[in-house]
Amino acid sequence: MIGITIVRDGAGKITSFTAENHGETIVCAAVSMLVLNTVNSIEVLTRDSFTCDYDENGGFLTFSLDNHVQTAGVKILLEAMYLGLASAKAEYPGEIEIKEVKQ
Amino acid sequence: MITLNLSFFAHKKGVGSTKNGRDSNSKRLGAKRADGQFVLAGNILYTQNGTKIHPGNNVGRGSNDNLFALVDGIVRFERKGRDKKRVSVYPSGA
Repeated sequence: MIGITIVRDGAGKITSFTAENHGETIVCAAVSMLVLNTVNSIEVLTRDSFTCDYDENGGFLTFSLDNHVQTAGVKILLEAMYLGLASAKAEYPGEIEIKEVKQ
Repeated sequence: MITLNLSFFAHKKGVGSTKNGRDSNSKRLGAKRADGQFVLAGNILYTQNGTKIHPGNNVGRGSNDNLFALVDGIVRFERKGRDKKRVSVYPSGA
């Protein structure tokens, strides 16, 4: 089961997340796409600085925005990722676990 | 850019049949910020399994045991008791 931890600040904005472990089915391809494409999109399409640490062998990625000032673009990209993950969890409950942590 | 590997979160199947060669993937755990470094609320300070480092002042612990800053400030790794360690964040004005 893939474990996702989403950290939100006081205003409810996503400031960091961690994705880890492996899945069995096509769901892991969907999660891989969602998570990796979100990080790549933030890197290419926005100017927000962030820290991302991941394991080249797969199975672990942690992402954290480096500053408070979140552009609208980053907010939408992160919430779109969350929407996709939450929808996938609804359809494949045994494959994904999402935990939300409030700062 | 990270390579868009669709099996990034997939079990690796059909990889040889050697008896050995099984090892858990390195989790790149450990300190993500140095002592004395300025951090912002939300920044991940330390990734770990279990509590090798305990959360100190102004530091929260995520459900995956990651430690993150609750306020902007300076990171301090400190001793906790005889043989434990903790990480705190002190607002730079304080």
